[in-house]
Amino acid sequence: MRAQLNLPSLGVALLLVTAAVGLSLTVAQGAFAGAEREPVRSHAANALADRLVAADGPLAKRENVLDGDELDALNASQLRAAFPVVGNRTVAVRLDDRTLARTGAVSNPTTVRRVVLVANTTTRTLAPALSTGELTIPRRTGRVTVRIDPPTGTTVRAVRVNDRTVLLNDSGLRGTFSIRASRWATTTLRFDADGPLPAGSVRVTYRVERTTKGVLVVAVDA
Amino acid sequence: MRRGQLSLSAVEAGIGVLLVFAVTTGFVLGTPPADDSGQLDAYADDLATVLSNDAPRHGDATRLAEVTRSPDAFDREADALDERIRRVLPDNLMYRVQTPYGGVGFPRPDGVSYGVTRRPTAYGTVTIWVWYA
Amino acid sequence: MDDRAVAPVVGKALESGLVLLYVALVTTALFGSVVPHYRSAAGAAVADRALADAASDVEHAIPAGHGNATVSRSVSLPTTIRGETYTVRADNRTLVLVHPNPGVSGRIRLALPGSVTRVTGAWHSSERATVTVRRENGTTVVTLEADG
Repeated sequence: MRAQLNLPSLGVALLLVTAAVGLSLTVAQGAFAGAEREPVRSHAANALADRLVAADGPLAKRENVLDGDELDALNASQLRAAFPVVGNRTVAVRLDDRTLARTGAVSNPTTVRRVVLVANTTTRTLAPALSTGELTIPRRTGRVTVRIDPPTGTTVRAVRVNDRTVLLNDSGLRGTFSIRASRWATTTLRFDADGPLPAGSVRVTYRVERTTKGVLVVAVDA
Repeated sequence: MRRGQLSLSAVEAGIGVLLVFAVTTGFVLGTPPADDSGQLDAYADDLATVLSNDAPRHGDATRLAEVTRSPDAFDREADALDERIRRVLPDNLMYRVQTPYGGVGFPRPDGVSYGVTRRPTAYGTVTIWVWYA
Repeated sequence: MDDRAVAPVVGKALESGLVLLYVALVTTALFGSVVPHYRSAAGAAVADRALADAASDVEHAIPAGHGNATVSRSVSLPTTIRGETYTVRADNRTLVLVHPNPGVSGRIRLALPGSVTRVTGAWHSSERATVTVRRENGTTVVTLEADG
């Protein structure tokens, strides 16, 4: 039996194994490259989204309720100044499909979405004749501006909001006052007057908030 | 007589290459899939925040407290709560809200990843689940 | 009969010797060049994850509202990364991870509300890390300190 010292075939075999190892190293290299800095970028996106919807942020009226006017006015420099976590990153903030502000062109980003309500406030004024001295505001509101201008012969002594006396002056109230009301209950204003209050003597201005749903999208680039 | 000999080195090399590729494939395919539950949890938290800051329709502190107050209150307010959630949540999400006196929303399917949040109210805990439609 | 090949045993012994030599060479080459690089890359990934979790813990420790409050929260950090202990330092609203291996060190910016006045302190990975937020008289101070 002749033995075969099969060196050439051994050499080819070792070459094949080396090639396989080299291929695996390339795959490993690719895997590591793909994982670069991912948790830090993910944290930036989540933290920026948290700050945007937080109640004490510059854009928010309440937690998860954003002010429509502030959103419209948002731009890139304001975004960087108000939210320092943006830093030098390329960030885009969108509401549904509309881009609110971005610090650069975003490609292949990490995205975080939050459910928000966008609040738009409009101002409404009522100036009816007060036959009973009572005026109920049809919408719940937090703040009411009252302008009292009674005709001669009538003095308004007190103004009450839902049984709480907010303005009191025995010699008569006249002028513009800002009264705090509660969002959680219907506001009824009662005017303590010793004479008739025709239309125009009391003007009540209040703000009505209309909320629409929206999705705030924060995209942070690699 | 010439006998062909199966080159043992070739077989050994073949096994070696197979081993190396097996380990590599294990790493390539074996990593767990990307975890999206954080996004769904954020959705559930946001929905709970909006509901708990909503003005109630009648009495009580907030809409969420109103609906958990008693079985009668729940029966009365459940539809309004459902309507409100539909107006707040994006259309690609489905939800279930469970209060101590009943639930509102869709039945929870199996095999889907959920976002979940629990909010305590004055009368009990409300659990909200959210998933992609 | 003069051309006798080498005996099979010697032939196989030579082959296995060559294979062993090859394995030793490849192992040395890998450990010398590629493996430390991969260890550092894995260490950097662990450090990133640890920093992101710590930053998230610090940000969520800040209480809402405006009244005076003190909050203390424990933060979990891995004791060693790539086999060595390290420090996490607060540097002007950024958390900096300082590790003996420079490839593993990293920074992460904190997203804090505007009411936070100062972030100070440092954690050493061998101690139990805590973050304390003290709000009094309108100033909020976030301190990274060790427990106990």
